[in-house]
Amino acid sequence: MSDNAASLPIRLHHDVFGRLVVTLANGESHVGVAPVRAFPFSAADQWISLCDESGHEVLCLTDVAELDTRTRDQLAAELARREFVPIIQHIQRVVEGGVASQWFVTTDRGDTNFSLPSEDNIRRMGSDGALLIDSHGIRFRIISVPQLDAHSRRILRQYL
Amino acid sequence: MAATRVPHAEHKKTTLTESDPTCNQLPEPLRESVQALLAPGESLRAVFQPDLDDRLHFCEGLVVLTDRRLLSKEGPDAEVRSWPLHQVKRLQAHDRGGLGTLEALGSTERLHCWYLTVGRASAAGDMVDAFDRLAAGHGSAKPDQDDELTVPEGEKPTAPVNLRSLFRLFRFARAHSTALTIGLLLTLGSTAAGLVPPYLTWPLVDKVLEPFQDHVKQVHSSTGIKDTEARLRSIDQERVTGFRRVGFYLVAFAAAALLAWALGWVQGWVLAWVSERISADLRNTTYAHLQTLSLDYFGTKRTGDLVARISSDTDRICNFLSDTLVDFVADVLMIVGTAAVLISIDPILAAATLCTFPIIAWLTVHLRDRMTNGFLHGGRAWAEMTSLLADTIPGIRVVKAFAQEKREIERFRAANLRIIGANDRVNRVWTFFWPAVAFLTQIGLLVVWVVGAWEVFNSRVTVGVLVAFLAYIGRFYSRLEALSRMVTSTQKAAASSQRLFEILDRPPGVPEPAHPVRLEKIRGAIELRNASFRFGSRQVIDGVSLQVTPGEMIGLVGTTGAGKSTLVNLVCRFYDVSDGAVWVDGTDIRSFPIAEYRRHIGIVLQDPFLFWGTIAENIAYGKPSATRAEIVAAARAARAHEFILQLSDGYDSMVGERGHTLSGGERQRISIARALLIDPSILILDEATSSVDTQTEREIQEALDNLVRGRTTIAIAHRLSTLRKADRLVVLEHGRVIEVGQHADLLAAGGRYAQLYQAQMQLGQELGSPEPPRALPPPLPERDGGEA
Repeated sequence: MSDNAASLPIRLHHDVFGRLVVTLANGESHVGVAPVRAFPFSAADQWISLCDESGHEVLCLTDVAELDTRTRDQLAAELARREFVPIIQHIQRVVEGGVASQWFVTTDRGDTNFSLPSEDNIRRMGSDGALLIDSHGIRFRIISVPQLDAHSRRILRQYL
Repeated sequence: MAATRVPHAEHKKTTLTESDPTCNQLPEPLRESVQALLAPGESLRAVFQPDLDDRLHFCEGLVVLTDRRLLSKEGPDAEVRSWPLHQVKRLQAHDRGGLGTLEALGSTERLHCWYLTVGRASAAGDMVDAFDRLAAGHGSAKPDQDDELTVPEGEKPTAPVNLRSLFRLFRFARAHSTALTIGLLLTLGSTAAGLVPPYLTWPLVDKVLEPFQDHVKQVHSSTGIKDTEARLRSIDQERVTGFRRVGFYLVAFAAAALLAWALGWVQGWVLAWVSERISADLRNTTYAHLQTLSLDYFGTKRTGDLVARISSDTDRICNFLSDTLVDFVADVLMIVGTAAVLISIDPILAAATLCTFPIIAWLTVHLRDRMTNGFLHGGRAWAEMTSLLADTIPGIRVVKAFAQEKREIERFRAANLRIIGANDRVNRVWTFFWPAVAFLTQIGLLVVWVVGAWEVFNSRVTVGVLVAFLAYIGRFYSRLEALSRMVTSTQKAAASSQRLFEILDRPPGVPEPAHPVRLEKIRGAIELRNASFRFGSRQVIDGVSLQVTPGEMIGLVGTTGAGKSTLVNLVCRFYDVSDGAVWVDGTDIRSFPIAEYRRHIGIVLQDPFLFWGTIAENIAYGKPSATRAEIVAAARAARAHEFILQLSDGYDSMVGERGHTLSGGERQRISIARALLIDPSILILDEATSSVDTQTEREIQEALDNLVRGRTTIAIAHRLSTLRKADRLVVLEHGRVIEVGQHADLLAAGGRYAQLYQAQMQLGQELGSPEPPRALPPPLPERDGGEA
């Protein structure tokens, strides 16, 4: 669990059950670990923790840049498989309905619509990003509000 | 017996000077009546004014303590009673339910009892102290400067609502004086430009239209010009020259109007800009000042009321500054300018125009105070309603648990009813006021017509003058009416600024030192030297002396209300001691800059408060510049890291106002991480584990053990088992230290601590466990959302 372990070689592979196995520098291996970003928004590529099935931290990688390319790619692929945060690219329309509002959007994962329970579920992130959390807890990100098209910005302005 | 019993330490009033004659410090009327009571050579020790007689009717009495006697005079005409000091064994003060008593006790009987309202209870306490000091032989009982030898606060007449508080806003205007001056100049310009158009009607009528009409009449009636064509030609010629002049006047007319509009626009924008900044300054200043006020101020104020003051009251002031004030200046200028022009044209007509003005002015002044009071009431009623919201929304779980929704709705309705009541009263006044002013302006118009017609008939003025007058009057009266309407918003703003200055005028709870002692690093040697603290008339901490060496852990033990929390509040300097001192590293903590001192103190409270923000922000609250590595390290040490990783957004997860998405144990561990991050030399644990079950307590305890290591720690706990690591236990009772020692020694001594411990053990055994009841231990810290 020591921090400098990150600079040491670690290896990742999947076992026959599809579980992720990490082998630490000292030869110890842990089966069924899951990579977790400690700061998914503010520092996505730093502080990635590998936790075992019961939630205990096995290893904390302070910076993925310290890993060799292969492991880094494996880790990125594993994270991509676990994380579902669609990025909103265009807002088609928003239908207000009483308390919740229905959002029709185009994301990097295709068109979708979701229901936003209240205005509190939109929050600013960083200087110009935004995060929308729908009624099921799914997170939708907007990387940069100013870079959205005019139509989407006009809609967002009522909420942010 | 290793446990030591600490004797009640002797008072050392080093701040008092022996020779200072107290009499001179009394306010004028009181001084005379006190001096009348004294015998020659007798010196005054203390004065107290009870405000009730023995039938509990209000009555200003007088109790005087001298070096020889205790004197009493109940009411101005009552006889003076006196007791020589040797008769009086003790003075004691009590208060309960708003009523207080001060009793003088002899050795066999009660000599006298005075009654007072609770507002004077602390003054009564001072009297008791003065007596005790006198009895103890420490002759001088000169009260502290700010103590109640001055007239108690209830006595001071509350300042009547007036516009004075509005003038105090100038303090905030000064920073923007340039913009304000520009705005004012623009106002002047636009007002002047606005006065031009009606003035032009005069020459338009008298020099163009009337001469033309006369000419036409002349041509028609003259016999000199025979043929019709010549007549028509002459009229046409006149018409052409007339048109040219009309054109000139009308262009000037339009230009003046255009100028007035443009200037008015710029002026409006400039002043709105300034007022927005002034009201932001006002909000900032008020909030910043609020932060310096002591904890007991917040204890006595309702949150909603404070919120209302900072939000809606500043908003009203902003409205006043941007709209009303500008309009006011413009209107006054317009009225004065118009009056000047009118008088210059024709004094008699001007006098007729202005005749209703005094009536309007009188009406305004007369109703003004009534309106301000009304608005003040309205503001208070409004604050009461917001307080209700601020109360019940955070407490919604309690409301629902006790099924009191209906009652809360009723309470809210009642608060709204009070708003209606207060507003109805003031509405009645201004609804009368405005139409009355409108009516008076109509009367004024009538008077001008009458006088004007009479003057035209008598050829004293031309029709042009009358037309110009009527054009001016329309303006004049509409301005006047607007001015009277302004009274409303002016009075609203006055009431609002008064409410704001009520906050701003309050002195900070703990004053910053005049000559601060810098501190870089503190070792954490704490020494309480005969520290006392009084809350009203209640002596919460009574002469506590205690030395804590750096790195030592002290466990504070005692029943509820023994003064444990107050003692740590004194160490944190949330309050200042009323007597004695708290020293850290050999310096009185009052000489450290407050913020710098508190930076070295970490506090973990019973109910950890998490702010609206991410978990990382909450952990880094005491040190916003902390790196992620520091945050993670603190969270790890506080045993919070792993559960944070399980949250969907990790350290970037938002936690609500009261951290409702986390369980009690989780929030507590975040607050421990928060305390760890600032790496404090002194650590305060105020019932840090008492709100969680024993399973969670174990987890927290591990986190706490990390936290305590190497720091001077003062821990308060009801569960004595949580203090097992303490180096020394200090047992408090009624604000005094009664036992100090280690667990085993105290137990062996069989004192108060042993009793407390036995009681807890017994309770544990009765419930079939060596420890207090344990909730079903969850395998992991539960994350059930809101079960906190």
